[in-house]
Amino acid sequence: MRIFIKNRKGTAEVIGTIMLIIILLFFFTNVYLWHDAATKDANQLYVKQIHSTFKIEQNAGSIIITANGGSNIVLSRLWIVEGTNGNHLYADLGSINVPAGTSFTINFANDITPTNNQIATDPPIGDTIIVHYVPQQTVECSIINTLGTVESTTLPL
Amino acid sequence: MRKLYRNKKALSPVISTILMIMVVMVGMSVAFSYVVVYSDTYKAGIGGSVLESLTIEDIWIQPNNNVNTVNITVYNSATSTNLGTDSGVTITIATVYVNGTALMNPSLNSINFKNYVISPGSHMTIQGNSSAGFFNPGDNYQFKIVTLRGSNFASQPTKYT
Repeated sequence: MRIFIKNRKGTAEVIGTIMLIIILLFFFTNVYLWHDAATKDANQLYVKQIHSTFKIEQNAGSIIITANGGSNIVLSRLWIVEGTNGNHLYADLGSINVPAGTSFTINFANDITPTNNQIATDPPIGDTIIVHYVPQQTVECSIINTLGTVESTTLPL
Repeated sequence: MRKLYRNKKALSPVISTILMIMVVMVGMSVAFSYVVVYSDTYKAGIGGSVLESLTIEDIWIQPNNNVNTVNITVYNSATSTNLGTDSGVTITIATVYVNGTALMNPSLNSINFKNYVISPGSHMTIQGNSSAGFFNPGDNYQFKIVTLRGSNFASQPTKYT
């Protein structure tokens, strides 16, 4: 054992190898830690989507969107697919915030013709917005929020 | 002082040590630069694919005599607010498939859709073409969007009416 400890031959190689392993570990740990952090960031979006569910239903020709709770939802766009014509129209809702547990109503008014399949909207007042379109046939309405969640309902005449 | 300058005995070990340190420093700088570039490329490329989030919000198939036009509207939800990061993730579309067949990009006249660059928090309509007669009424079609980083975003089977 003493002979082994006192033998200094090859010490530099051992130290060099250890240092090389440490440097390599440092480099690849950097990449691994970033990937781990990125995965956590992506999971954060899924968690937000789970906590921001909403439902969409029709009532007397209006659309009522209810944030189920957990977190607020921010409405981004309304899609309308006409059943007979097959036209796809949309209305940008301009990031309407619906607090958790509350409802928001979309009312329809038919005084502005859609341009390039885009429906005009009025600025939201309180928990209501007017969309300038009146369904003349059965339409499928979809709402997408800023988290990318889509909910749909059918609006009968 | 004169003795020190005139003493040539330890000159070779000193120079060799300095040379060795310089070689090691240059070598390590090259290795470090390579790793930094590799790391940045990985983060911006394949590594960043985990942060991509795309929602297919609408698919509109418009039949025509010569060609079928498909308008796929998507929303990039990978914003800094949603991810909790300093910046959002911009998504570039690579190809679009319908039931495994690539759609044609009329703008580039190829199956490459790299001209569709979607900023975080924005909507975009991707227009693709398929050959006439490809879509049959009543059949279900699944659309798949592949990004430049390699992520796949598939739609629910859509019935063509």
